[in-house]
Amino acid sequence: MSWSWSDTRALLIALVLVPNLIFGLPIPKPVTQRALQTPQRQRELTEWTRTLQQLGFDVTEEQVGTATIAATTRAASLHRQLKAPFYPLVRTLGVNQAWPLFAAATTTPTRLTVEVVRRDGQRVTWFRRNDPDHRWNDRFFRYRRVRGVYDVTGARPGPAYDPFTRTVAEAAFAEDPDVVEVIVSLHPVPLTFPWEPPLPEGRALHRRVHRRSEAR
Amino acid sequence: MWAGWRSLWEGEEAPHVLAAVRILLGLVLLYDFLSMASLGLVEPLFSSIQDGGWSVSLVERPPPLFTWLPDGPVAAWTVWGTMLACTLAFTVGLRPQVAALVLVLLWAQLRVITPGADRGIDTLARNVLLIMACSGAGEAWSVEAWFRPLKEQVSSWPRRLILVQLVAMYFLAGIQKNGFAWYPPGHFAALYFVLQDPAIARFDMSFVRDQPFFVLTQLGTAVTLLFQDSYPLVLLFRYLRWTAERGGRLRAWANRFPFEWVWVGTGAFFHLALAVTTELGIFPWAMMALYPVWLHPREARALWGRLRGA
Repeated sequence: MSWSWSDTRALLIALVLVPNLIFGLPIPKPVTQRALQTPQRQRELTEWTRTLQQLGFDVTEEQVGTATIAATTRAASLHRQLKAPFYPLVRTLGVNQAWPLFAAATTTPTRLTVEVVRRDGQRVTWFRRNDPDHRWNDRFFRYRRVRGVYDVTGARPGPAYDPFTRTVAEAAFAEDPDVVEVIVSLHPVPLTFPWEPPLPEGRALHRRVHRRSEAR
Repeated sequence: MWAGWRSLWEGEEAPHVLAAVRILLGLVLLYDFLSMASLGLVEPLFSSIQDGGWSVSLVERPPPLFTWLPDGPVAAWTVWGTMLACTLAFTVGLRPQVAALVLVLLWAQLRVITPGADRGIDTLARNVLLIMACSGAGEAWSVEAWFRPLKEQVSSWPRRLILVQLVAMYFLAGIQKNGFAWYPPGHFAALYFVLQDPAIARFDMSFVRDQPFFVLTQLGTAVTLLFQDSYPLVLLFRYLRWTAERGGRLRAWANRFPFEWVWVGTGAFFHLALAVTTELGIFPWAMMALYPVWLHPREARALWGRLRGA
């Protein structure tokens, strides 16, 4: 049987699918001891430990945590080795097959808040995400690429967060000459089940203060 | 086995379904890139922190393209402008293969320079654009018709590969769900939590704490998980329909009803529901733009005929 264009095409598609399959392997990111301390992970740990105990496993939260760290670290390391030869191509083309869409729906989301301090010392909230009374530049903050910069669920924000807060401050200074200080922060919104009492918003995290006197 | 694999990618068909995907996806991307400019985000997203932008990696490890371009706003507007031009060319069908490839290469820079601003749907769109770059998507409803006669038949494999990409995305999204809230220990409360996330919800949805909304979110969570984890069945149903002539009880049963449309319809419903309730930008629309690939051009033509006749 002779080799045809159909064979070549089928081979090429198979070769393209191999790295896609490797990148699509459902292996979670390695969980670190530090990451395990976040409220979201702590809650996950408690619930999964309780489930294992109900299934008859005699385990503690500490044991489940240690096993999670060990298993995810080992699996992620192996996954990294498998992916390594394809990294240059994947980076150049910006392709991937990891789709962790709401893989762990967070129970501790945060609410972006922008406050300004006027020359007379008055402090005013200009923007509070999903608050109809504070909607300054609402469209900007709702845009998906901007949300990706400030929607922090991990222990610390990404590298674009600081410059993002500076852009927000510059926009506020430009809009109102009386504004002397802009405070951008994220307020934790701990979510509870309907049968649990609602919890109040937490203290501001990742607070960045920009003063007009220091603005460029 | 090799013959079977080879035959999966053989065959030709009319180019109209791929052209529909080209136009729909192109329009969604045009909207996104124009939104970026109208919100004053071109310079922040494509410039380094030294030039007032948000990119740290442009200072520490600039990708090759940005080492060739002048610093600051000029580079930002050049990259964005070329991306917009490529998207426009792709949408109207002016050298859509070249346009798709150049767009992917430029768009991939954003993922490197401002990672948080590059979302899952950007990755999916680039995956699909690479397939489209090898397809005959420009052979129908394209401005190329002004310059040359368009082909009436194009390869079927790009449409099938996009279909595989959709199946892979839904299935992998399902099996990568590891949060307790997706499962019985978390009372299937994942959607309930997602809808109350201030960064994601379109409006204040704290009312989901009350009944019957909480139960509806639980039902939505369970259906989402079931729908995503079982998505590969769609390919099985397709295969059984495709090979109907081979006979057998399973094939006869599978050919009695187009079962895969249960998954396709559920997916469409979820995307529309997400578009109404959440702030995920172009995600639901870009996903829906790919849905025409579920139809063979022959089926699409029959459906169009029925709709016009109705």
